Amino acid sequence: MLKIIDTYHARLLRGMAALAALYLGLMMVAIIYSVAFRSLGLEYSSYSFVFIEYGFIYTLMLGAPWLVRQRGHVYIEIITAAVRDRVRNVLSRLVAALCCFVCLVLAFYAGALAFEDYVVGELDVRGSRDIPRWIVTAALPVGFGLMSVEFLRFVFGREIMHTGQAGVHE
Amino acid sequence: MEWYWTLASLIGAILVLMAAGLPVGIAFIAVNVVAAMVYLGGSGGFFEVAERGVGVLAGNAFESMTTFALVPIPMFLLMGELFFHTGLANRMFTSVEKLMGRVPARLSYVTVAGGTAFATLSGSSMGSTALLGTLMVPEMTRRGYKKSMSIGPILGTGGLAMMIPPSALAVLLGTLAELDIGKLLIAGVLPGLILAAMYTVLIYVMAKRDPDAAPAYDIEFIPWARRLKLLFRDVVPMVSVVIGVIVLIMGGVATPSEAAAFGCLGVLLLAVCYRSLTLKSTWTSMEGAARVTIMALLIIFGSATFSQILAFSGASSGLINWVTQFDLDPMVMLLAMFGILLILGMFMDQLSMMLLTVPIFFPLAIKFGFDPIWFGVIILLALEISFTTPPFGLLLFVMQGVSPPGTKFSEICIAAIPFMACAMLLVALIIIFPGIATWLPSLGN
Repeated sequence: MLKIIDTYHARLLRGMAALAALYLGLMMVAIIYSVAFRSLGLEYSSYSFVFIEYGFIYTLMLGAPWLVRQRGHVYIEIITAAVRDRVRNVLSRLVAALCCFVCLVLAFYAGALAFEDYVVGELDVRGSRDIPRWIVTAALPVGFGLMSVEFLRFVFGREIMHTGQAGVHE
Repeated sequence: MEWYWTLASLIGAILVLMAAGLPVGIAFIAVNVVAAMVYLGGSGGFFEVAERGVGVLAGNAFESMTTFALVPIPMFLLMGELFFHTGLANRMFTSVEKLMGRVPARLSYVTVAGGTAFATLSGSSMGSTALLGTLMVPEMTRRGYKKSMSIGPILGTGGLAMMIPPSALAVLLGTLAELDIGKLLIAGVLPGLILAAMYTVLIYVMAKRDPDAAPAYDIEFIPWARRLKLLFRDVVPMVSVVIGVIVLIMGGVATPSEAAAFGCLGVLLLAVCYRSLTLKSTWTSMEGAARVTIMALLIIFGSATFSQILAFSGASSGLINWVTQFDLDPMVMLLAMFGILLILGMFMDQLSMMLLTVPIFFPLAIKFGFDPIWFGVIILLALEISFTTPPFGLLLFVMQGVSPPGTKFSEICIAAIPFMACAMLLVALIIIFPGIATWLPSLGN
């Protein structure tokens, strides 16, 4: 059962990462559209700026959980490379647990922030438009929540986060 | 708490967490969460303080990440990925090699030219070193090149990558230090060209002094007419895209973000012209760019509040007041900062070094009257030199990992020294003649 859930979860993360990649491509299109229309003296939608500027939060939150699974975030192995396998196994799981906790804290409080933005009707003035702020802040609890799940896999799963090879990994 | 305890505990905690193996972005977030609760959370119960502190942190991250200024990072990365995955980079690389003809040590020159393109556009010195080490070193070893001529140029190209636009790391430095990104990018052009010229002269002198270091070998003679065709078909269009980006920024026609997007479009159009644009190459490029962008964004997210906490806790002003009371010569201060970066480069990546030092170094630099753009160029060079400085520079270890079996670590270190000396010489030149870094941006619109 757990294996099936994990398979679907992996597909979800992969799909989210694919959306993040697509978003970057669309950002390029949006910039070219706005510059081209501006240069030609044509009217263009200021939502293109909103789309571009919000893109970084969306891209990060869509892709970061997948990158955790891929061990793609930058991390340094000094201590975990210097200790014996058994110690590394324990240390790596403790580090993953700390990462999981940090992400959970952020997910919780960012969730509260997004909820408050929604309830209060907080607006973000961008590109001369009033955008409800929760549209962006709501991405934070989702992204950090999923990251915490991925770190949790390294706490209890068969694989650990660290390779044991000294150096910077990216 | 005294400012020095605050500073030591903040930086110490980040270093300990990084050394323990936490992803750099998460290490920053962890320390910032605690520090935000202490310094920005106000008073009240634990949950109230936590909500306010983390709320400020999330709000800061929101503000610092929803900005147009960050756009060049993914766009430059996308541009580079498209260059490689559509085969345009390889096409240029092969043609440059052919154009060199029978020039002694031509593979070393090709490595400098190709390595600069790889490192500049890939956004990762380590990835570029690993790739070139795997691609070029075996071929040069087969041709009888000594390690100084095969490994040295690869390690040297990282310095060029930092300087010549499009440099994603320069954009990041500009964003973090709140510099004019366009000016910082343009400021790197002249130092980059000087460094490239230095490397060329160095390879020429090394090959002249020891012809056995890069033995000549026969290759097919290419008539001049065909060479011209190769030049205008496979080299000029690719270089034009990069020059186009620089001209757009310098001429004030487009912001760095817009110029970067047009750079991507330029590469896409070229790929269409060469019939090398496929759905697969486009998708792989977008995925590659997204991977590095996400990695960088998490670190930016984590560090968004760091400088604010340093300022709010009094650590920044305390350090500045403490340093300025000694009435130090500005050059001594500059060298001290340079030295700190060299030490950090032994066990840290460039992004982490930047995030840790920019909130401290730039206020100090301004206090000492340094031109921020000039200082930014020196920091960029220091970041790269620190990565390759024997005996602990991280790129040296990466190179050892991909070098042919039997390559000694000492050989890699010795190979790196002349190229690092060139970069150091460039730093000295920029200090003596600041115009090298400031002249070109001053012409910009």
